[in-house]
Amino acid sequence: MIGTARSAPPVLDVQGIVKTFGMNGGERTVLPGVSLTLEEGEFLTLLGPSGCGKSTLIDILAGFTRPDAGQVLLRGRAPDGPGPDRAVVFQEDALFPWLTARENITLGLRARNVPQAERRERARLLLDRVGLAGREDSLPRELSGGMRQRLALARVLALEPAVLLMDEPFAGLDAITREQMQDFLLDLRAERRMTVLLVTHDVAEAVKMADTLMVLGGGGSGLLAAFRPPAPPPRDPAAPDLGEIRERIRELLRGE
Amino acid sequence: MARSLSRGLLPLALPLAGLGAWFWATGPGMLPEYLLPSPPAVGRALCDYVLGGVPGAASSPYSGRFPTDLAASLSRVLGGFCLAVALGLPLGLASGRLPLLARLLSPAINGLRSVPGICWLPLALVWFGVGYRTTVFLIALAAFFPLFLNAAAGAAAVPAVQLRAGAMLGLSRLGLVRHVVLPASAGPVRSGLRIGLGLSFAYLVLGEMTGATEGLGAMIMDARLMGRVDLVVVGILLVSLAGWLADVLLVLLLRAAFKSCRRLP
Ligand SMILES: Nc1ncnc2c1ncn2[C@@H]1O[C@H](COP(=O)(O)OP(=O)(O)OP(=O)(O)O)[C@@H](O)[C@H]1O
Ligand SMILES: [Mg+2]
Repeated sequence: MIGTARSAPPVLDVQGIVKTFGMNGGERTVLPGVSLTLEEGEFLTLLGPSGCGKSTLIDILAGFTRPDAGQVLLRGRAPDGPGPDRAVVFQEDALFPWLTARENITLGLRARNVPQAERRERARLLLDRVGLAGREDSLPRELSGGMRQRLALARVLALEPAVLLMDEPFAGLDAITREQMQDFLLDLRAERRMTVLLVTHDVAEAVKMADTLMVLGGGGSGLLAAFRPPAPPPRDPAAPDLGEIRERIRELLRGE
Repeated sequence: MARSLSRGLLPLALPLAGLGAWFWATGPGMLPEYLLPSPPAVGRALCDYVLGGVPGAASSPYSGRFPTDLAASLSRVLGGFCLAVALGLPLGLASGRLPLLARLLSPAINGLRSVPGICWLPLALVWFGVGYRTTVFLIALAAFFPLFLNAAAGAAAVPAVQLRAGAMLGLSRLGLVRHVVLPASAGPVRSGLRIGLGLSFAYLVLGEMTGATEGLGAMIMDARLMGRVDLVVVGILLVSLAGWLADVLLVLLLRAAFKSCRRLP
């Protein structure tokens, strides 16, 4: 067992990702060769100014977009297109508005032929867990913004993914709800030993939640720095020993 | 209570006002009977046409012919409309999702759709002769374009993030069509179906006006030739009633069959 554990490949092994977009005649390199690894159970946050390519990187990891160069390995194997092993909570609202809360969750289970009774039961447990008990039959438009984000989370938890990719999932929420969602995500993560890559441009959020913090620079400058604060999360982002990391990240973000 | 009652009556307001105007326009000293027959005269003709043998109605070969005419007309509408759906929906959805197909089809379709249906009539008569097949062809042709265009617009407008979410959840290509593309374009597709069905009734009358012996359109044309303006009005009323009922039925059917139609905002 020890031997296999030592040789186990990382959940995500991302090497030299290059992505260039054609922009009215010219070309713009957004990702100049980005490499990172995500170990089993690790919580990594990716920080960066708006437009630096965070969503583009998520799209490539999820398999929605092909990189111009570089490769993504999921537990040592190159995945073919998107799939439930790399679950995504999107930056924009991506629930299906014509499906109820329960149906939004069970669609992914249907796709892998889970029997109906079990689908219902698992949806009920998940809705319970994300605080939406009794809202099985509500449509997304009948839920608040925070509830919708929790439903989006429940929908991907049902997939039991190898890694959870989250693209600014809490950006649209008010401060109090956002803080509740952060705590909730940390609880879930501890409970299920999830591997998470969370994109944010909120420095306090990253400092509070992440094992590893990475900063992606604007203008195609790639990964600028990585930090691993010694204390495990959740941390108080205002703690004095984190002041230096906070300041350096702010500098990096301002420097762009 | 009073509010819901007045709301329930609101759809009747315009038809009732029209009826009032009709009574007024055919009153003493107004339009003569041969230009616009009065509501009671049309009512008698209607009863005679629908039920047959109504005393006091001008005797005519049309007494009690309505069920036969209606059955003939409905079978043509159904045939033409179903043909249009079978072609227009899949082609439209596919061309909304496949840019190459859209480029291939759009010049031809946009060119053809500006040809008025009546231009096809001579050609259809040559190809299919008088009767069922000509009418079905005209109906299918007319209903095809709104079906195709709305389905294509709906499928093209499916948010990319919903397709990505579907793929991420593990849906296959076919699963994406069934569980994302179709429900996400339910609104435009339903509009296309309703417009197409409405046009089917318009082209039904056009198709039946040339030599068909049975059908609502044939009846209207015969009545005109015999100077029976009251029966022409009866025909118009019945076609509009049939068209309206068909539309209501279509919407109810779609609601019953598809939850994406039930849950349209
Ligand atoms: N399909 C595309 N075609 C052309 N340019 C694109 C495309 N997608 C993204 N870009 C460009 O790539 C850059 C990075 O976009 P991306 O959405 O990844 O930024 P981001 O870091 O997620 O920003 P934000 O924090 O605002 O969400 C932007 O300048 C954007 O204009
Ligand atoms: Mg983004």
